[in-house]
Amino acid sequence: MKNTLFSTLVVLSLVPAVAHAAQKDAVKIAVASNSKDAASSISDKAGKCPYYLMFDSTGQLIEVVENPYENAQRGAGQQTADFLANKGVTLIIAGDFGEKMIGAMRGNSTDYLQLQGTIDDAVKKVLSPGNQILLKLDRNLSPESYESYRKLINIEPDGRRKEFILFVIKKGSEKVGVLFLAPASEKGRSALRLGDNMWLYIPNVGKPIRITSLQSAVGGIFNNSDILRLDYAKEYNVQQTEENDKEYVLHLKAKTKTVAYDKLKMWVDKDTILPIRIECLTEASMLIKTIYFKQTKDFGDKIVRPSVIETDSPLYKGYKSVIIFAKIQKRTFEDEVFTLTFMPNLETLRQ
Amino acid sequence: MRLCAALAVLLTISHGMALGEEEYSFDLSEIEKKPWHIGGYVELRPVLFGLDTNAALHKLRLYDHDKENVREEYNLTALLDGSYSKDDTEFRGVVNTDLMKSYRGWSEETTLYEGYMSSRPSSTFNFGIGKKTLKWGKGYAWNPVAFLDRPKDPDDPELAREGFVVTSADYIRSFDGPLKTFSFTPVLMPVYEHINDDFGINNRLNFAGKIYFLLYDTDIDLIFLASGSKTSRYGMDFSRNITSNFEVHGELAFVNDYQKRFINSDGALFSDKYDATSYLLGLRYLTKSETTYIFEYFHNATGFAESEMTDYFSFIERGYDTYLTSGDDSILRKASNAAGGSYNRRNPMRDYLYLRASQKEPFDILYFTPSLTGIFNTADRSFSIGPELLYTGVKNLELRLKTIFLVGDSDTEFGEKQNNCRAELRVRYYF
Repeated sequence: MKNTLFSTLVVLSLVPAVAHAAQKDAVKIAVASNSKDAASSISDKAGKCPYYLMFDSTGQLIEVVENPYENAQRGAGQQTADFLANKGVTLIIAGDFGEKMIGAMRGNSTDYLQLQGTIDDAVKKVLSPGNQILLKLDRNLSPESYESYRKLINIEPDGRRKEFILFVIKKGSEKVGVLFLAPASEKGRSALRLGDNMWLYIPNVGKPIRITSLQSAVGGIFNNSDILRLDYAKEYNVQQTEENDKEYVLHLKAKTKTVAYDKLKMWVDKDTILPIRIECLTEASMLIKTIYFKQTKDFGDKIVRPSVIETDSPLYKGYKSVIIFAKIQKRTFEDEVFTLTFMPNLETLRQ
Repeated sequence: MRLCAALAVLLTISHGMALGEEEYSFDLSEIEKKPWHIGGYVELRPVLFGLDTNAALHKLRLYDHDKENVREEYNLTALLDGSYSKDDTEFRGVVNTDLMKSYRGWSEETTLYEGYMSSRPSSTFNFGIGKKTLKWGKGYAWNPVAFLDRPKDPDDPELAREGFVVTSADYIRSFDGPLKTFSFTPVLMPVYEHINDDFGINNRLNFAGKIYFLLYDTDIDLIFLASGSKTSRYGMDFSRNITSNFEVHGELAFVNDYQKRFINSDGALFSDKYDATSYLLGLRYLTKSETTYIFEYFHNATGFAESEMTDYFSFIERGYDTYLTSGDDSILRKASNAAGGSYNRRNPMRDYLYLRASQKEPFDILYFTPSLTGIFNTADRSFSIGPELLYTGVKNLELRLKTIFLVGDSDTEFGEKQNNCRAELRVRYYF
């Protein structure tokens, strides 16, 4: 299975039912395909693919339907979305979606996933309960594309603090940009992440330099991958899921060696599908840091999530790092914003 | 909806955030966007030089001064960085003022590092005009492909530098698939009297460009400078993360018809024209104990061979002897200006190794970074080595204590430099 199976994962939200067996029967998955074979690759053309393969909640192929809008001159995406909604589809999977089709799916309350790889593998992944919880959790933490402001505070054992203010933008599953607004010594710095690639731009140095995920642009407990974090489901697979009355406990394993932490142990609130605590572990299960999610609040536009995260680490005894979130809001960006050439100009995106 | 979100944030934040025993605040005025920005830093930098009175370059530069083993220098620097933005257009200026007290007395120099207007009609296209630093290349200590930049100081590669007056544009495209980004940056650089006149032959309009690809997770730049004030030159660079803690990079530069001028030990001037191929290979590696190593090998084909440097040092010695016996310093003055000053480059020879090891926050001291930097001349086996202590724990204040020791036999690059060692404290306050 290629590591890139989830490489372009975009989820608006997954039906909460998928986490609950009682509602599983309602799930009907449609996967865009260029052939009738479930072993073939997912089609990139959600609106104009020749076929949709339908699966039930057990992963059984139940129907292959021809897309009546394959050759439509206009409005194929919108009409395909309506066609599938009328067939009772609750989740559509394709390699890519057009803006109009996304709008139509939202209108129909149909969930969608942007995936690559074979159809069989995608369905198995999607139907794994742990991965569904993780996908849902990602979307609960932030929209697919958004902007936000963060204050990052490093606190020393004697109470001294150093604060950074960041403007953060994200698009899709692998594009993140960060602009430092304060303190003055860091103002104008920016960091960019495209999948596994990360760069830091320092105005005086002038050119973006490649950085690695384990380095830290801010000192303290947070490293670059914490600041430029991608969706958890983009970087991790759920290997094991436990649950008690109130929580799921997910055991996550990194998909590639370039991911900063090899393993995560994540406690998830069952009601809200939001993280409560995450332990970041090495391959040998040594604890690197623990992240605590606190102060859940409503940011508007259906974004309800923890507004503060705290981190401590046995490697930095007595030290603590905190991120406070503000003004998280959906926003779409051009892809070109997430390029090295644009890095010195991130300030122009602030409104 | 946006208003509601902002209001909710304000309500929460205005009272601080009760969080267990801790209280955190995030005042939204801190993120308010203003059209004006003025920032920069002021810096105090006292320097102590340990002089090598037997070294050739000491004799060359200080032959008419008293012989001293130690010399002080005091530097006060202010860098002012201001910008004004309106809609898609930005005006930016960076001015640097150095005030120095040395054995020569007080001196002051104010330089416009950057001053340009840029406009961004869309996220795929922008253009600008004015004085600007382009800073091409991926190397940390050296950049052989930085055809339109002033050279870096390898002892302090992150220092701000003066730019050139250029007109440039960026065209950017993003894609899905192996090629994620493509951008093209054409540059026009006039070289006339009072405009970039130190760059090369005057009365020329130079054309250069850079094409950038992010291809298979690798940064690749193709760079050219067409013939004009300098001979034509082409280059490429690359950079790639191998793992989460390991990065590799490199540069390759071809200079057509490079003309090297050099002197022999009698002071006769020679000229050699050839195609020069320079290259740099480097890596950045972070260990589990959070030590970062930067390693680079640089082959500078425009540099001097060991025998050419030895001839130069011999010529200086001859000039110094002549000065001592007759008071005639004409040979020393000739040596000082020899080959258009190219002997005075920071690293004038051909093959160098650079190694920098820095340890993040040892002994649990936050924002404290000790490091050790070495530059080795592989031809004559001389080197400089510099331990450094950096502390950034106080808001907007950066304290750096740095020493450099130069080691080498006679007739070697570092052995014949003016100083044996140097110690400096840099206190920089950002505003």
